[in-house]
Amino acid sequence: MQSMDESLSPAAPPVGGDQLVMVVDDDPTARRLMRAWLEHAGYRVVEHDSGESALFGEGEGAAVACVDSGSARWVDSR
Amino acid sequence: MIQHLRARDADLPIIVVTAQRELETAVAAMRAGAYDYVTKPLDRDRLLLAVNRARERRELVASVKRLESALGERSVLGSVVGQSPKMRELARQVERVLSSDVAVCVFGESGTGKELIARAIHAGSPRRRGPFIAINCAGIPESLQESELFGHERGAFTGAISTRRGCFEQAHGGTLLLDELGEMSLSTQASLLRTLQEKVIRRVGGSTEIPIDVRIVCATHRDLRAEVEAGRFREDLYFRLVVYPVHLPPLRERIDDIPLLVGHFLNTLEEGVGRKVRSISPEALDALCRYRWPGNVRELQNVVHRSLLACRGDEIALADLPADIRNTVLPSIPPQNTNGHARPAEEEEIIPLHELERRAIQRALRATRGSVGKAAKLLGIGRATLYRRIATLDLSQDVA
Repeated sequence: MQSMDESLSPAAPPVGGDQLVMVVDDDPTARRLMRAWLEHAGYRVVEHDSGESALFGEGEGAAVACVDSGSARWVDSR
Repeated sequence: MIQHLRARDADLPIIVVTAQRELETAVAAMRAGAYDYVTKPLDRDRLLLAVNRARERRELVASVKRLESALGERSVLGSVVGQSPKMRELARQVERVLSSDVAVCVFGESGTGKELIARAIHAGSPRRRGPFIAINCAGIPESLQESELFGHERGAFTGAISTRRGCFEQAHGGTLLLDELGEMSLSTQASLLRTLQEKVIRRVGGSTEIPIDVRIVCATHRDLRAEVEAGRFREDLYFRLVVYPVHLPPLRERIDDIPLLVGHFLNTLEEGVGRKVRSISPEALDALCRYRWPGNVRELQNVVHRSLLACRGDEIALADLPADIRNTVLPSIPPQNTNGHARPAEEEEIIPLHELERRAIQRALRATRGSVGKAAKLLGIGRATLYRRIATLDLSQDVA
């Protein structure tokens, strides 16, 4: 995984247009990394640590969702 | 999960983040409707590329929808590809119910495009400016079905950490697709019936009645009438929802549409693959037309996608197709009825091996004017074997 500092240095122009991206991952490091990159690119980010919280928590109006495969299996494993 | 998120927002592009060694999960997710995938370890450029593309696509879809409604788009089933007689008839059927709110129930096998029909009904109806919400009853545990449909108040049950609007509320003013309706639990069916009668909903754990104005379209691969008889589906709900049944044919019954569909998928999938593959070889297309397509159009899309990834040139060749489809390329033997006249192959039959053998031997004998020696060579077996088979199959009248 790239470190956050080195990966943010060559500033990509912000393209996110303040749109909301939902990030679902049980790994806090992955969430932090994705949040940093996405915010740097001009997106707003809402994080969830499980599929359950993504389905029932905030995030309405998200333009895109990034979901890790572990969380994606949540419903099937119930 | 993907279907749940999409039940919340049918247009939400979902990017699956997966470990490199779990690529099959990514493939499964793509099949379930994910837009793209990125692998861990994460790469910033790849992630941003995927997110930007997904966002752009979403904006594009939204603006196309706006344009279509501005133009008052009337081309029914515009998003459904097909020119076969069955699909034309289907378009005519659907057209008749566009302007009313009559409950349409789309019957069809898995992968035939029931949701596309529902979307087309919505897009062609006066509700087209309202939302289209789809909920797949099969993917939702029984305990969550009511909460998904009617929403819940904060604290209504463990995990309900905030108030959430259900599908009915989200679809207010628009169309709600109840997909795989046959999988809905009996208790949810009772609540649904009440909602349809009273045109109000109450969120789980809530007491306020919220009026709703929603057109219902439902879809199922099951025979709902049989489900009613088996006691798994409420009869009163059946009569309320199955007012106007529409039957979507399986792909094997509209093989004339396969070339059109392949062309459509080549155009739409090309972008994701990042290479220009313009066409498909006649042999490969022929193989696609012979296959039985148990997974229907969805399976065809998946096969075209896989073949695009396997393809090295600018045309999909027979070798690029998955093996199980390549292997259906056998010389076709027209089934014969008792008069010996070939009849049109409306459906590919399974022919018993002894019958195949009989036809092969008859052909070989005809081709060699009844010479057993030459026929045996053509068939790749020994003369003695052929004599034995001719005796067993009672074909001696074909021998010279």
